[in-house]
Amino acid sequence: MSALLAVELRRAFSRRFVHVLAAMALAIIVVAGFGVFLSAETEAPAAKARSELLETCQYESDVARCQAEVPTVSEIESGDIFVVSDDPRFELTELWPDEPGSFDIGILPTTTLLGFFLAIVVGASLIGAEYRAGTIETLLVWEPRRLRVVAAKLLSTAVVALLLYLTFQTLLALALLPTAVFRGVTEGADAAWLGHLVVSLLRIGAIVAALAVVGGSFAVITRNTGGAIALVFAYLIGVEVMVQSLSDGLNRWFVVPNLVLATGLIPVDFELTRSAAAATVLLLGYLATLVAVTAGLFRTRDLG
Amino acid sequence: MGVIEVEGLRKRYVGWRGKQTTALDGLDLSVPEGGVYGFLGPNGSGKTTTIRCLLGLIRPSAGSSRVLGVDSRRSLGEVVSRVGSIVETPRFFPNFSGERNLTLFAGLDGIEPTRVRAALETTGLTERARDSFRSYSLGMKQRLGMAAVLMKDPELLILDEPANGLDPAGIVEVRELVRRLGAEGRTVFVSSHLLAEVQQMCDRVAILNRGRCVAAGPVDDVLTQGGGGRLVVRVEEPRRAEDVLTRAGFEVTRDGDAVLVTGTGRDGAQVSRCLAGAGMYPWEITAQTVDLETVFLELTGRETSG
Repeated sequence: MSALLAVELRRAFSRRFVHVLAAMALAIIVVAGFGVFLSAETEAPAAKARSELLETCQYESDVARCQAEVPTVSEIESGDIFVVSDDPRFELTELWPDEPGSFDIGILPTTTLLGFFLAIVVGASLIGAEYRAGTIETLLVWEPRRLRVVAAKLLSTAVVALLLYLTFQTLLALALLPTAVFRGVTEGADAAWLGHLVVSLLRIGAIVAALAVVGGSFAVITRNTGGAIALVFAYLIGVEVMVQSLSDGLNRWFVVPNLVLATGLIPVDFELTRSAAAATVLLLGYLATLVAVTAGLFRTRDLG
Repeated sequence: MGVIEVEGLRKRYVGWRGKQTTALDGLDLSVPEGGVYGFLGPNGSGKTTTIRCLLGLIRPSAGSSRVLGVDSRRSLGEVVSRVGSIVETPRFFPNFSGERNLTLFAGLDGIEPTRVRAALETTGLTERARDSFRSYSLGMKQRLGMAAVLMKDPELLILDEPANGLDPAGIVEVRELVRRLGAEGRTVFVSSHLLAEVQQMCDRVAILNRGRCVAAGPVDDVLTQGGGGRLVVRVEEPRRAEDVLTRAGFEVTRDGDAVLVTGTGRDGAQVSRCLAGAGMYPWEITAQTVDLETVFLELTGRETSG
């Protein structure tokens, strides 16, 4: 099994599609890192507030008097004078805010949505390409134990998706780190926050891996990359939305709402129909059923 | 017991609208150990389906098959580990080089890298071993398929059209390689539509038509089943010679001025003696041999028209 898995992983990481995807992600990360660094606000909140107040003086007739009345930075910082101003600098904790219902503001959670989409595409592509090239047949005349073969294939898609997700999230975080250190704020980014970040990334990485297995399973069922991707998204975007519009009661059994609950990246107005743990168990049940159907089909179906 | 034993093998495909297509219709086949066994048949006769059934790629609808003494459905893992095979055009990972492809598959079977290099050398692929499989010609893909089979050092080789896409020099190389493997004591089961090649390469053949075996055995015996050649007799009075030979029990037909003696029991000396006994002295008796192509066309044509 380990030899089979090694073959599958080597093949997966040699795929041009994976290379292109990785190159594109790296390019975006580099551009984002430089872009954020160069455009980042460097003024502290008090200084920024004073600058904003001074800007209003340009429109006053008595500029000198206005400027004299604007409080100094130290006066604003002391808190004696209340001035409403958000901290404009980049905060490291913006990467993954340590609070629930913060899906809208975290940088890494936002890119996670793209990760979900790509995981399905990567999973479907890795296995669908084998059907297109006909190499499944070659593999089966070397290793005819089909359950092992399909297990290795699905496992390899999961590993590839997980590694890609974790690598790119880490690289994105590292690309934004200099901005936080040299031009922004690192307050709050303590060991507890880092632990929360790592646990969150691993949890969502596991969901990304599971979605790659979903994409791969549908590729085995349809024996086609495009068919698999179309089927998954037609279900997630078409069927679930359509059925939901007919009956709200079924909503709690659908994949997308439970996926939102399981990730913990919950929008503010989202209906909490069950706990994250219960949602995870339900999704694992769905995944196990899909994998069982996939394995059964792969084991019994004729090739060629 | 043969290396491959097939009994009553059937494969029916059912289409979307319930339309059934029979690919194998109760095939019986016995391939003895050692030597090169040719598996012939027109397109759609069930050759590749048989090979796929033997290798577990498709499930037969009925019947049984044993490969190397083992039930090929129940102990497929054991069968496959002892068999090297090419099914239709060899397919490998297109972005990998030939060598890397072989190394990957070698890893599945614990085959050492030295055997990978040796197989590449035997098939003449050493110079192109590092090029991607995608860039290979059809002939090179066939060679790589052969290399994959050879590095496994199998007891039984199942080769589906191994000369497909090869140039004449390549065909000769494959022929020599297959004959050498057969002479080493291995069994080579080779399906092909290149009948002249099969006749030169194989010790035994089976001819398949419409999913059934219509002739099988040593090449000479199969040639006999298809008529096995004929004697062309030229004599002064062909009509009388025809009567004399017919009365003597020979199978005789006329072709213009020539008398054709066909069927078993034809022997130039006996024919000459018989005619001489009737006062006729033929000035020419020529033995014409029948090739596999003629037998193949006759047997498969007879089945098809029947």
